[in-house]
Amino acid sequence: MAKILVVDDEADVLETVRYKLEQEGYEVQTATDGFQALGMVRAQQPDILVLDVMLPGENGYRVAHYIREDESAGVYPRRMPIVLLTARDLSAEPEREKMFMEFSGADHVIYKPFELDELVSWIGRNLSST
Amino acid sequence: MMVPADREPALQQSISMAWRDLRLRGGADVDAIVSPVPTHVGDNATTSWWQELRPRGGQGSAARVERRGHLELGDRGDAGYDVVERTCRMDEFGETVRPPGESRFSFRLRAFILLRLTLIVAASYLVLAQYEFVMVPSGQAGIIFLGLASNVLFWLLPRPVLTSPRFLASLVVADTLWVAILLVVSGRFNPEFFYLFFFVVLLAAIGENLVVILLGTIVVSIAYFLVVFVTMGRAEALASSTLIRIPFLLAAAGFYGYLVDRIRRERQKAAAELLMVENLRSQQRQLEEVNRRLTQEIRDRQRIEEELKRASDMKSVFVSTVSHEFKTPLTAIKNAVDLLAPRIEALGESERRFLTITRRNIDRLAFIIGDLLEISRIEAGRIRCDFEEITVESFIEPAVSSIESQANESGLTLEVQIDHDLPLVWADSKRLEQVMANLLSNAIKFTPTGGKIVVGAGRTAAGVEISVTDTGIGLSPEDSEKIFEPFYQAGDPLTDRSRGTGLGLAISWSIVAAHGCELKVSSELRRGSRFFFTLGMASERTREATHLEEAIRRFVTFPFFSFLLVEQRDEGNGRGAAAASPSEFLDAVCERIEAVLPRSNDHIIRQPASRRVVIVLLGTGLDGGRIVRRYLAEALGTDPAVPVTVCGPSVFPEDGHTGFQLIHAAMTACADEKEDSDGEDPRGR
Repeated sequence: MAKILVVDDEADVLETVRYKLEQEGYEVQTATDGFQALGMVRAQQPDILVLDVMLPGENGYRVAHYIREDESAGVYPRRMPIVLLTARDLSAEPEREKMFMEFSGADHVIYKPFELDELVSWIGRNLSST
Repeated sequence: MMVPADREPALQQSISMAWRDLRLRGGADVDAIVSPVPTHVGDNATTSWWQELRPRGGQGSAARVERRGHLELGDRGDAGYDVVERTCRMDEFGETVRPPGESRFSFRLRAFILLRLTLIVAASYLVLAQYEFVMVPSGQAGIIFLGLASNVLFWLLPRPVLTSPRFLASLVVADTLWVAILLVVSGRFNPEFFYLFFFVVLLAAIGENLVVILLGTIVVSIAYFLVVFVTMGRAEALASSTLIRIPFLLAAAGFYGYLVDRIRRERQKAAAELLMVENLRSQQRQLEEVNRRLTQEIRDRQRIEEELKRASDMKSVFVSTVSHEFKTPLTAIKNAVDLLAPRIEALGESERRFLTITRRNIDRLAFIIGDLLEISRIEAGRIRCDFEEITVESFIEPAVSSIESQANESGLTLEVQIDHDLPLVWADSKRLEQVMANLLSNAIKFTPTGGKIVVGAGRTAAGVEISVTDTGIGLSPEDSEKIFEPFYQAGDPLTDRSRGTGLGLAISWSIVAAHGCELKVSSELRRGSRFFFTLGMASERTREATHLEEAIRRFVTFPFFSFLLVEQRDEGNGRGAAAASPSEFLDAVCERIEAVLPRSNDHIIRQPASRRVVIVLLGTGLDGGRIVRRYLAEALGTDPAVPVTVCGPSVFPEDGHTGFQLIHAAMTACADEKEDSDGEDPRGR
C-alpha cells in the first residue's frame, strides 16, 4: 500500500484530502508545517508528497527544494514525486511559475480550489510510473 | 471683505488669493497684507493706490508692509481683518508722497497763487488810489472783484487742470490783458508796474516748462510794448528807456526758463528710472514668488503621486492577498461538498437540489475571486499574452458555444456573422476567448427576453473587426465613458441587482489593449450596445509590433526598474522583418508606445524623476536617448531629465530570454553608472 504524506496547515483542507485518499486506498500521513514535513519525509520516506506552499516554518517551495537536494546527495533511494498545492495561482504568469517550479523541483502544481479527483488521478499516474 | 468692483480684476484676484492663503493657514496671523500697487504716471504726476488688509480693530501697524510686489504675510493679529484702501500722489518732482487728506497743493503752486494775489491787490490798490477809495466806477470795481474771486476759485479747480502748462499760460496772458486794460482805463498806467508781470512770469517758470515761460514772456512784452505806445505816444515811447528793458527781461526770463526746464527733465528722468527699477524689483519678487509656489506645487504633486502609487500598489497587494485568503476556506468547502457527491443517490430530491446550489455558488465564488486576481495582476502590469497566428473562429466559436445554452434559457437569439476569407490574426486565442465570453455574458445579462445578440467579424482597412451587438438596455453616455474602469457598474449599484464584480470589462479592455488595439463601445440607451475592437493581421510587421509592445509594456509597468527594449532587426542577418529606415522605425516605435500604454498604469509612467530608463538596442543606427526622450516628452508633455543608459548589442543574449534575464543584463550593463546619487537600489523592492 502506497504511503502518501499530505502537508497543509489548514486542518479542514487536510481532513478532506486525507479522507479522499484513504477512500482511494492509500496510507495517508499528515504534517502541518514545513519543518514537521521535512522530519517526516526523512523518517517515513513516503512514496509521494502532497505539499501546500504557504506553510508555517519553511514554505513548500523550500521544503521541496531541500528534499531534492537530499535526493541528489543520495539520502533517499529514489526520487519522490512531489505535487504542490497553492492558492497563489501563477498560471497567468508562466515566467514566474517556471521560476518557482524550477527552484522547488516539484513535479506538478495544483491551484486551489481544486478537484479532489484531479489530485487522485495525478497520484495514480505518478505512483504507477515509479 | 470688499474689493471695489471697478478695480483691475488681476488685483482683485491677488487680494482674494491673499485671503484664501489667510484662511488656509487657519490660525496664522498677519500684520497687513498689501496688494500690489498699480501706478499711473500722468503728464507730470504719479498716482498710486493700494489696499492693505489689516487686523480688525487697527491694532497692528503695517510694519511688514511690502510696498510693491507680492503680498507678504506676517505673523500676528487675530482672525478678523479689514481692508484699508490707500492712495498717494507724487507730484511732478517725483518725491513727495502725500497721503490723502493733506493739502492738495504743492509748495510751488501755493507760492504762485499767493504772488498772483499780490499782483491783483497791487493793481487794485493803484486803481482804488486813483479814485481816492470812494468813487470807484462799478465796472472797474467788478473787474477787481472778479480777479480776487478767481484766485479763491483755484481751490475748487481739479489739480490736473491747475498744474497743466496750458492753463498756466492762458492764465498769465489773461492776467496781463485785464490788468493792462484796467490800468489804462483808470489812467493809472505806469510802465514800472509791468516789472511785476515779469515776477509772475518767473513764478510761472516754476511750472518748469520752457514753452510756457517763453510764451508768457513774449505775450507780456508785447502787451507792455503796446501799452507804452498807447499811453505815451509813438515818439515818446521810442525815446523811453523802458523799451530797452524789454529785450533784456525777455532774455533773462528765457534763460531762466531754459534752466528750470532742464532741471525738471533731469528730475523726471531720474524719477522714471527709479520707478522702473522699483517695477523691475517688484516683478522679480513676483517671479520669485511664482517660482516658489511652482516648486512647492511640483513637490506636492510628486508627493501625491507617490502616495497614489503606494495606495494603488497596496490595493493590488491587498486584493491579491485577500483573494488568496478566500481561496483556502473555499478549498475546504469545495472538497467537503465534493466528498458528498458520491452519496447523492442516497439523498432526497430537495437535498440534491441544495447540494447543486451549493456547488454552483462555490464555482461562482471561485470565478469572482479569479476575476479579482486577474485585475490585480493587470494593474500590476503582469498580464501576458502568447501570440500566435490564429483564425477569428478559434476564439469566437468556443466562447459562443459555451454561452449558447445560457442565451437560449434567457430567450435570446444568438447569431454569429463571420465574413468569409478573413485573414489570420496575430493574437492570443485563450485571452480573446475570455474577452468574447465576457462580452457575451454581459450582453445576455443586459438584454431582455426576446432580444438578439450578434457576434460579428469583418474585414476593415486596419484589420479584422470583432464586435458583439445586442438589443439590450444600452448605456448612458456617462456610463459609456466609465464602463471600462475597474469595479465600475453601470446604473445605481444599490437599486440594480448586483451583476458581478464590475471587473469583466476592465479585464477585457486590458487584454484587448495588450493586442495593441482598443476595446470600444457605441451605445444608445434602451436601444442596445455594440462592443468592438479591431485586430491586426498576422503579418510579419504586426508580429514585430506585438514583440515591441510586449517590451514596452514591461518597460512601462515594471515596478522598480524601467527599461525599454527596442530592436531593429537587420535584413542582413536573415531574420527578415522591418525594412524601414531607422527614423521611420523610430516613429513607429513612438506610435506604438502611445497606442499601447494601458490607462490603468498612467500613474506609473508619470513619475519618471528618480527612475532609471535603460534601453537595450540590438539594431544599429538608432539613437536610444532620442527614443526615450521623445516618448517621455509625449507621455508627460515635458522634456524630463531622466537618466538614460543605452546598452549595445553585446550585452544582449539570443532569443529565449526571460524578463528577469533581461533586467539582469540591463543592470549589469549599467553597473558602471551605479554611483548615481538618487539612492535607489533597483533591487530593493
